[in-house]
Amino acid sequence: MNDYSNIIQVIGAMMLVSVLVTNANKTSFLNKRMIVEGEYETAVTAIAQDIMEESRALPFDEAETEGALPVNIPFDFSLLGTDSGESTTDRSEFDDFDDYDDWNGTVTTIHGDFEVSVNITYINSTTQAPTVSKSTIKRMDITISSNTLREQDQETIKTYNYSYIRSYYAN
Amino acid sequence: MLGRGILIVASGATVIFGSIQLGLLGQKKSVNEATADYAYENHIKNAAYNGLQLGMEELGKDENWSATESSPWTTTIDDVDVTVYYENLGMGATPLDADTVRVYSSALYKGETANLVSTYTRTPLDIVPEFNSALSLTTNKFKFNLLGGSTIRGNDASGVCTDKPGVIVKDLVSSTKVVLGAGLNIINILSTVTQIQIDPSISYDATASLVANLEGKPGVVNVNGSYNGNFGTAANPGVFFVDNYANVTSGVTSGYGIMIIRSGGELNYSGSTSVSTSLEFNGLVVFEDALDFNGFNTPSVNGSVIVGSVGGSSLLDMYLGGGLDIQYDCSAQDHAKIAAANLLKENKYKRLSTFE
Amino acid sequence: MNLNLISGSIVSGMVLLTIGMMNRGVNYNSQDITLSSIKQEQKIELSEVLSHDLPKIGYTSDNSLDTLIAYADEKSIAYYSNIDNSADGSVELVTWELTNEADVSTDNPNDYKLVRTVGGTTTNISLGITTFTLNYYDKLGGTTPLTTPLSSADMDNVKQIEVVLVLESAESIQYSQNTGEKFVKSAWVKRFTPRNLKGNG
Repeated sequence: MNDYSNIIQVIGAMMLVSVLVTNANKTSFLNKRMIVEGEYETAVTAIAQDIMEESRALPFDEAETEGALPVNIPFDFSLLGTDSGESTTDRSEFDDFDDYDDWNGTVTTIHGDFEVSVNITYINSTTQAPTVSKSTIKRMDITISSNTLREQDQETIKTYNYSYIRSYYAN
Repeated sequence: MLGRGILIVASGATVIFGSIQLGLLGQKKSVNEATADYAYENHIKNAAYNGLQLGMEELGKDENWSATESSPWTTTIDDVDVTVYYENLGMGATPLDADTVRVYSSALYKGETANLVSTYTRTPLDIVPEFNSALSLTTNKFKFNLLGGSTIRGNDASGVCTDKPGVIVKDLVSSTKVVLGAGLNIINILSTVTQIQIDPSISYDATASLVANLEGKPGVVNVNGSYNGNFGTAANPGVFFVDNYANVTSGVTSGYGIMIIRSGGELNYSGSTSVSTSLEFNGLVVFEDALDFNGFNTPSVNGSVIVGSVGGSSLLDMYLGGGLDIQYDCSAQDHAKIAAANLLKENKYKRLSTFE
Repeated sequence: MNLNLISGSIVSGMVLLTIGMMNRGVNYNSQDITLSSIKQEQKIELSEVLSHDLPKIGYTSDNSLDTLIAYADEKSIAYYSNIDNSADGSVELVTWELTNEADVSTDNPNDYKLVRTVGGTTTNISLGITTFTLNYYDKLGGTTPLTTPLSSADMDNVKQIEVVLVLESAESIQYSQNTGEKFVKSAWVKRFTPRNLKGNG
């Protein structure tokens, strides 16, 4: 009578090793992804900071760029967004804080491309809730994403959100 | 035997692999922590900035807003505790001079802090047009008469500033009107610069904006009927609108600040046939669509006079008699600026430095 | 011939080979993780120091400095600042410079020493820095950097300073059987808009 216990044990070992290898590969992939995500997420934070710092150096409103200071505040402030004749895509041409409103662009860094979009809203200075009427305080919301950074499902692209408040009185 | 051996080896490999991964957990945690720390640092710094912005918002609206080091203003921004206070480093010597304010913002999150210090100068918002002459005619729709006894002087009475033209007009036609209207009394338009200067760029816009922003503000004095009040003092200049007939009965002989005389406005001085010989106004006098600019119904001016029209179509009739004296004085500009600043109550902050 | 024994031996051999190869892969991976975590941590630490220093270019509480930047090129910058916000208002000369001195404490032939000097006190930074590049811009959000070394006029016109920093591991690792040895890298790019530079609002 043949003793098949040997081959059965070997097959058992093979199955165990195959599970081990599968998990090892999966873990290796996850580890590598984690390292790459760490790099990319640092870059995301840096890009958001770049835009916020850049915008701080600009005047609060278009009304301040036209020579005479606005008198009726906030009624003399401009509508949000770039003004007539101004570029909507070239950040280096922005001359006031809310020119960033509805700006969408691709920022290319050493890590690759990041999609960035910016929105500006007037907000209520007490509640900080968005308001349709003009006020002396604006909020910048920045959303950044990258094809490399995904949610757990590996399908949905992860978005990173940052916000910054700017007061007319704190140029 | 062989099968058992290889099964033991496979099991051993599994255990070892698991141990390695457990051992690597520490490093993986470090990578995540490093990334998170970087994000937290920036989050906290941004919260400090946001706190500064909100603090300046409060201070901008009320320069007496209370937030001291011992009793700071606190808030929470995106789960970060923020503390803001300010100190007045120095007050300007005059109401027009800049004050210096230093604002401190601190943010605390998960045991980490970020501090921000910004220094600002604070000056009252200034929308009073510069005095460019004794008399500025920003419209070319006017008739002009200068009678004997009335003078227009462009030399600076304070001696501090350079002299200005006696009269500024828009174009050659306007200049000719002034010359012809003055006639022999052209000698009463005096200036070391030029009697009449032509400036095509002269505009009433800035003055119109000033008038529009002052009108209706609390503290504005509407001079009408029997007026027993004053016209401001050097220490407390005011803003006065003359839109109707007004008879000054208070006996005051001087005024300071800004006087705006509009269509229908007419000043009279009780007991005198001419306001100009009874009352001297120090600062800015504006004739806006004042169809009759009559020297008998106008105070003498130490400062500057601006004549203009909002719609641009009114024909202004200037009859400068009654001993009217318009004397350019650059120091009187301060009376106008202070008067406007006191009503507008708007400060402009300019950032000097930031420590982050 | 015992077929059972022969087939068992063959399969066992394959299993052992598989374990051996998997072990190698796990080895590469764990080295990668370990070195990467070290480099990322070091990168973050260095970025924090740079983020502390560079925004303070030209800072004095009363904005009284005439000269803010003393020297600037693509590998170094020297500037004035009351960097510790001392009450006496004393201004220090702060310098960051990637030297040409190779870091011989590592096996990496590409790394150099970075030196930070504040008021005469020098700190040598040996973190496997292979790239430390400074780009200067005279327009906010500009894409064309100024020519370096900066002229006096350009020093007054600078609005933004971009730092490109790359750190590499001290030792190389082999990522897989088919690739050669490589050094693990960690990079950081940040554009600063120092608030006290002339023209920065």
